[in-house]
Amino acid sequence: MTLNQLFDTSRYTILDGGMGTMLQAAGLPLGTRPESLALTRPDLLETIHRNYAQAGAQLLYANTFGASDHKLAGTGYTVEQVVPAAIACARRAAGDTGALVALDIGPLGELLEPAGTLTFEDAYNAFARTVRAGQDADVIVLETMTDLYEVKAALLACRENSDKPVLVSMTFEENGRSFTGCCVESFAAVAAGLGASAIGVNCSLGPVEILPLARRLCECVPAGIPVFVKPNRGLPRADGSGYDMTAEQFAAAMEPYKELGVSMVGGCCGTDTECIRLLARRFAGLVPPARQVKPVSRLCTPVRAVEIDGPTVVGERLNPTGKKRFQQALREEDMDYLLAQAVSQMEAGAQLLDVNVGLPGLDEPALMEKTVRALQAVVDLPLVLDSSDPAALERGLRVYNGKPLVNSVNGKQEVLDAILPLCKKYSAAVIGLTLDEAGIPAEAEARLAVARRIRDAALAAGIPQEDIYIDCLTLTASAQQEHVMDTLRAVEGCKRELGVRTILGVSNISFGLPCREYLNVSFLTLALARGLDLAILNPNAEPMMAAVAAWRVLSGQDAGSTAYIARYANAAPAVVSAQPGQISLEQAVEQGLKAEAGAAARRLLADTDPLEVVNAHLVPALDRVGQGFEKGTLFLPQLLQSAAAAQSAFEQVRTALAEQGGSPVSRGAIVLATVQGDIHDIGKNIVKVLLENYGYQVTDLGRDVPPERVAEAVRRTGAPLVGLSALMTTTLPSMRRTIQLLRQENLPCKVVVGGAVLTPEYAAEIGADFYARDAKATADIANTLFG
Amino acid sequence: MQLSLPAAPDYAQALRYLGAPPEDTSSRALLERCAGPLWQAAAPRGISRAVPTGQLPAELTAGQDIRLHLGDSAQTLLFAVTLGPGVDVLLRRLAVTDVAASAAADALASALVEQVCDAYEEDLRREWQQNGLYLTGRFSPGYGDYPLAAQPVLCRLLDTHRAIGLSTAPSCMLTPCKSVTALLGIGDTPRRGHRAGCGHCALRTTCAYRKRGTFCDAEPTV
Repeated sequence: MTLNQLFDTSRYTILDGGMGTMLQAAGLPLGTRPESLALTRPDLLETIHRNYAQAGAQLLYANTFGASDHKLAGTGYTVEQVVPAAIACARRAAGDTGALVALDIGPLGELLEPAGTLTFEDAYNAFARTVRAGQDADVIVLETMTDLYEVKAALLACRENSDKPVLVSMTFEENGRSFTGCCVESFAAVAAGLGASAIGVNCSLGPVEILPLARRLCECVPAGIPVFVKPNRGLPRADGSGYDMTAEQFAAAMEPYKELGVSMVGGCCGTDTECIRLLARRFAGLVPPARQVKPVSRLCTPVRAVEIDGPTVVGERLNPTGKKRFQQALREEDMDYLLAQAVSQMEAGAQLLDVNVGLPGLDEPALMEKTVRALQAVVDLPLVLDSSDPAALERGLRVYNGKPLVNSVNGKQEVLDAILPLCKKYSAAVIGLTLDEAGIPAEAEARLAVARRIRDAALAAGIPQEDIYIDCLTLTASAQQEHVMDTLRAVEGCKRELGVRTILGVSNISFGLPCREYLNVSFLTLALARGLDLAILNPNAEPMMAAVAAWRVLSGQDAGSTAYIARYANAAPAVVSAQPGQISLEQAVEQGLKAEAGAAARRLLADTDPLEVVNAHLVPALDRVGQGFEKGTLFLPQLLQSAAAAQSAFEQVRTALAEQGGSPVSRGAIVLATVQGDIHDIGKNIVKVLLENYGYQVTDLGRDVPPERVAEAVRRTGAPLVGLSALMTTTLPSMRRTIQLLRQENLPCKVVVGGAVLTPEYAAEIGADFYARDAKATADIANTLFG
Repeated sequence: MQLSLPAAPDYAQALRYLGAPPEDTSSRALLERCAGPLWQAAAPRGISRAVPTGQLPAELTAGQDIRLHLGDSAQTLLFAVTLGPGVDVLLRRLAVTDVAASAAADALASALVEQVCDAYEEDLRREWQQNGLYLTGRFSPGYGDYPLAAQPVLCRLLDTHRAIGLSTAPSCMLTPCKSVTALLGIGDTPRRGHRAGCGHCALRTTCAYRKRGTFCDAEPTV
């Protein structure tokens, strides 16, 4: 068989069956590492492969599923020993049957960040090592994947370290999601975009259960890319004695796949040579039906595949332009502020989030990468990476988990040349702004001409039509009133004549005019009527969201007005929202009332100095709560609710100071971290909130933090106090190493440690200055130290 | 396999984890707010497998306490449960938006994984008993002198990454966070096993329960 035949969608390719099954049948002792057999029992592997080849398998998966440095750790074997030896077994077995040999790569067995501690780069490096060791194979297979991020790391490792075609299959549960929540459509979009040569489903389920998932996959994988399945031999029997199908039942259950357009079939757990022989008998020589795939514009994260079909809301608030508080947060790398903004837009109904972190004087590429990583750990909306800096876009695109939208290119040739290849490489859709070397053309026709040039350049770069979005650029009504309608005509022209998607930053229309929302809502409605797909707006502005919801009703898209009713059935039509009771800031904090605390702080700030608000109102209230906690009249939940209320009041203080251009509140700098290896950070998070409430400038390094990063942060901030937390006995040594490094580097800081397994004795032993039994105790230590 | 979610949250246990008394209505109200999202986010799965005790790799029988617990059990049931990564996502999201809700949801999730383990263990106990065999209680890495290093070995033998999406990090920590692994002895006579006691516990000098004169697994929760 040739490679061309293997991927030919007009014929069936027969894949092999389970390897583990055959090894178990050979009676291996408990705990044997199957990968070691390439060196200890090559004869056994060769026999199994030969049996599959003789049964009709045309692609033999070498026994390299777990041959990564992560999984081989402790076996005494290296990747470079195991991989070539395992491929050689399959190659010998293929013999004169003409079967091809695949380097088979499974998951690394550790969870990637943010769920685990394995970084994307470490995963990439591990896969790259296996790929480089597998040069003797004909193709590479990535299989049994459950995490889309791991698929991306592996696919990039294949593409950048080998020129072999790659087959990728993920494993799903019956609900159509992997263990990590990835859906079939997101998998298809990302795998196809990153250049997979075949896309499939394997393991976990039998042919009956996988059938509907394979059908979904066939509906979204581009027609030129083969779809394949390798199901288990039915479902496991309850008594653990194998799978519930006979070989004949398995092969018969594969019959319905002939209607889907799947062109490669094989088996996974439980299947054996007999299953493959019967499968080959039913499929070999037949012609699969051609798949008809409707092109769909889709952006995704693993858990959310957003089909752009009608008005879609892009949250605009992650952008420093004109927002002093946001600029301050970027300068301080205060990710929690950005994340809170993101969550609030998501809760308000945004479907995509625009992310712009460009600010003069900051390292935008590094900040873009950091922000993308942080955002995808807490929100599952697809992101629109907004930058004009190709380096920033590339850093963001590389670590993005899913299929994002790039904002933006324009008609300038150098911009197209720099950014379109990045979009192609990392499987991103792209926005083109209708401007070029000559600026923004005023007339609709001229903007359309720029749009056409951008579309053609994107198509030439290999970006499909459905992934091209054009921004016809909203000109402000105050300055260029005569061209407002040109923008709308250009939107219409793009939709009708170019067949691309459209996007507009809606709020620009009202710049410089009073009561901006009136204009914004009207312009949005006009634009939607002309075919606007993506509306960039503030989702927390309800009238804008209402205009979108109303449009969906009036255009018939919201059938039966179901979504509209769900959103507004219980809402009073009046815009006046209920006023929180006029209670004092102290009362609000002591009673743990967040909204009221924020409102009370706003009222106070109207005529009180921000620092006065903190020192005379917030801190005394927190002290009273803290005393109650110590006396045992209040408990942790009340302490935390008060802390959360104080936090929302504090946010008002920060905003006020940022607007006034005053320097931020700071009683002193403190660095906090959960030590390397540990991702239990709830205790550290509580400490952070309490310290911030007392006015400290906290640099929160997050969790799983290497000692070097702690030392670097102390040097950068000059913090006199460092707080370290660890939850597990196994991560205490990291705490010790961190303290040692701080001392070695003669950094003049005190160290306070805490965490479930710590004791005062151990804290002293590892050289900490203070042991804190809880968050309140940490705040007391800081208050004493800083005076 | 997928496991079902309990009908009702164990508020008493969660209150205990939070250090709040059972009658504290405001803490309970906070927990009640978290229950809906938590139940939405959790996708519990479990797996178990019996192996002859004599064939257990040395890492799985390290320490006195686990050997005492298994006693003369001819077989050992390897046991793992996870609430899935959705719970971790929820906890991360709450951590940036509401610290009080984040602590409450964390406590409720810890109580939930215990509830799920108890129900799964009960099912297994019933199944084994139908064959005339009896199970001890669960004994997890980290109890007494049983090292956390047993955790990755247990996960490998159960192939938890593939079977239920559960892995260990290099520090032996389980990921997703709200997960449990354990060993149970299996024998042909009724057995309870030995609890680890406080003798080897890492927390014996700072433990709040001991200061109150009780035990972490003995204090009544209602």
